[in-house]
Amino acid sequence: MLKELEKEWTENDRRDEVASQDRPVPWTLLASLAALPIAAGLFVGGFFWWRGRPARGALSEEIAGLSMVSPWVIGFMAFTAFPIFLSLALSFCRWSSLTTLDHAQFVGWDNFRSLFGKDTTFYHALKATALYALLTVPTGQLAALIAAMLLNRESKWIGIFRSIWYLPGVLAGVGMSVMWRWVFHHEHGLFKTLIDPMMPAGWHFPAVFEKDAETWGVPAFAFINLWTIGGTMMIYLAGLKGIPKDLYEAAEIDGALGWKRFRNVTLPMLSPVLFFNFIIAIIASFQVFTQAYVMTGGGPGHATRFYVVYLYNQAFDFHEIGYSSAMAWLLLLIILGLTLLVMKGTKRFVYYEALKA
Amino acid sequence: MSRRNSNLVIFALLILGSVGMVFPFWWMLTTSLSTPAEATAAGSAGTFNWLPTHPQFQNYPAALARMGSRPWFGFFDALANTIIITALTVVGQVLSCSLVGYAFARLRFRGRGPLFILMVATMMLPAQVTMIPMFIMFRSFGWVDTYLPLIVPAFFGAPFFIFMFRQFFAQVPEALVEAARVDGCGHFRIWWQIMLPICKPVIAITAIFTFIAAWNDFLGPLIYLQTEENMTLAVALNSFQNQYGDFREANYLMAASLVTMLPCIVLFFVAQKQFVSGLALGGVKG
Repeated sequence: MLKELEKEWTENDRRDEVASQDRPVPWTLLASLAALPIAAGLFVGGFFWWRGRPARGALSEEIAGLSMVSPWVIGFMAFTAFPIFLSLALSFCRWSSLTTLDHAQFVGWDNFRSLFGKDTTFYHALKATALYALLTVPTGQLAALIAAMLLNRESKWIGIFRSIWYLPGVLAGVGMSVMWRWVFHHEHGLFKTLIDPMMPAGWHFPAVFEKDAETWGVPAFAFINLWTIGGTMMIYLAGLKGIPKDLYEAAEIDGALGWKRFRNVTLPMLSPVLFFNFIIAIIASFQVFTQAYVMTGGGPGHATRFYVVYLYNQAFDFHEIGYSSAMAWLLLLIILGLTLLVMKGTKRFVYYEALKA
Repeated sequence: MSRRNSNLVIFALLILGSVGMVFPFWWMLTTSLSTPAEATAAGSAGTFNWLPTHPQFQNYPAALARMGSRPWFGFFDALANTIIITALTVVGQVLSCSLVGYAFARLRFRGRGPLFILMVATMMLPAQVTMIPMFIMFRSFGWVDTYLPLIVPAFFGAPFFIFMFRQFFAQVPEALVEAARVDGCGHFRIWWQIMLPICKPVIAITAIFTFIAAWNDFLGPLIYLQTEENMTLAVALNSFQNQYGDFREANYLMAASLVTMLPCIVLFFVAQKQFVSGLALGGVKG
């Protein structure tokens, strides 16, 4: 499967042929260009820090504070800032990680041009991921919210239900993916065994990860996601518990019950939590990897090759670091864009006063 | 609808949902205790094993012995690796996040505000962006196929947990710190001797969530660990399922999968209270 993809990729490499021109990346120049402002910044910053230093007692507190946050600052520099800039530089390069960094070729916008123009596999990956996000975000949030509302009551049994609904989320990993493969198995799977006898003659439960994957593969992953709503559910539950009781009492006096009460009290009071959960869910849905990699490896064909699965293929199977870095940066931009869009679109509906209650 | 009736409906829904949640896991358990014939006969015969009539407990040792290329070594190597990586990640995360969180909460220094905002902003960053350059960086250190790329970053803090520690430390009464300061206690000693002992709930939450994440982590070990002796359970289980990918011996696959899940299940039931409070603490205020 992977072999086919690799063959396809190497045979009609979709990027423009610039490699023959030999345009090595000027790493030393780039490094010095980056180092100069950093050094200057450190020097100027250090100078002003020292000049405006507080009196002795406060100074020792300041030094202690700075050295205590230094683990995170160093970690940020080494594991976030530096990688992001290296990733950005690499996204304009063509470089096989089987060679050393000085073999990297500068190719300008070629990687991005291929992503949008020529690479049909990427188009499949983007489509599958967008569909997954579209299916999984609303269903997951709705299920989590309903579950939380069911659990939002006093009873000695509630703790047991809460545990049962939360537990699968803790187990999400390779083991659970193996389990789902077996549950959806096209011959001996649980759904096949259970549902097939109930189907009208001539109908069969689809082989979601085999021959019917083109239609059912992505929805199946969205369905599986319903077993990991536990964390979201608990956040909703905490949000529901935070709504003051007198608001409900006031609503009852006004005769608002059922849907009206939900629409006019619960929803606005819960809106910051809803907003938070939606953003987290959108971000997570674009990063789906483990389930797909373990269960289908992206196949059959490209039916379940999600964005990060294809990114992994490019980076660690084909060693195309430049191309996969371009994909990673594009993912960052997509996530950022979607987050801003949701923020802007929901501004009117999020009632931040609820946080103060 | 009377109150009693609506309560009944809600109760029915709760039970229905719970059955749905548990069902696949129950089936996993019964499969793991069946003979291969029973496990695969189910579909074709249209029958269903609700309870294994003759539970095959020997499936478990048999499955674990089959992991990896050398009998038993595959499993025990993976288990040891996972335990070491998970334990060190937890220790690193608790130490670094509490230290940084304390500084952000209680110490006055210039740049604290902007740094904190920067830290919160990085929470949104998808890990995939830093994944590839970090691989190149760690490879140039010669760290590929060692535990280091999986453990070392944990010692530099994670924004989410730093945030949680900060929220907790900000609520500690000043009098407690003041008394220690009058006694000539340094800031590091205050963190170590006063702050750490009182923030046990946050430590517990950080430790539990880090444990779960590290134990279940797949992408990290997949990228960095290459030889069989260095694999973690998640990666070893994936190789195992590729080896038995056609599910002709689903009973062994399910047995091995259940064993890798077991520590998380046990931890969940032992630390249920922390799980519940942790989500409330981290989620709503985040």
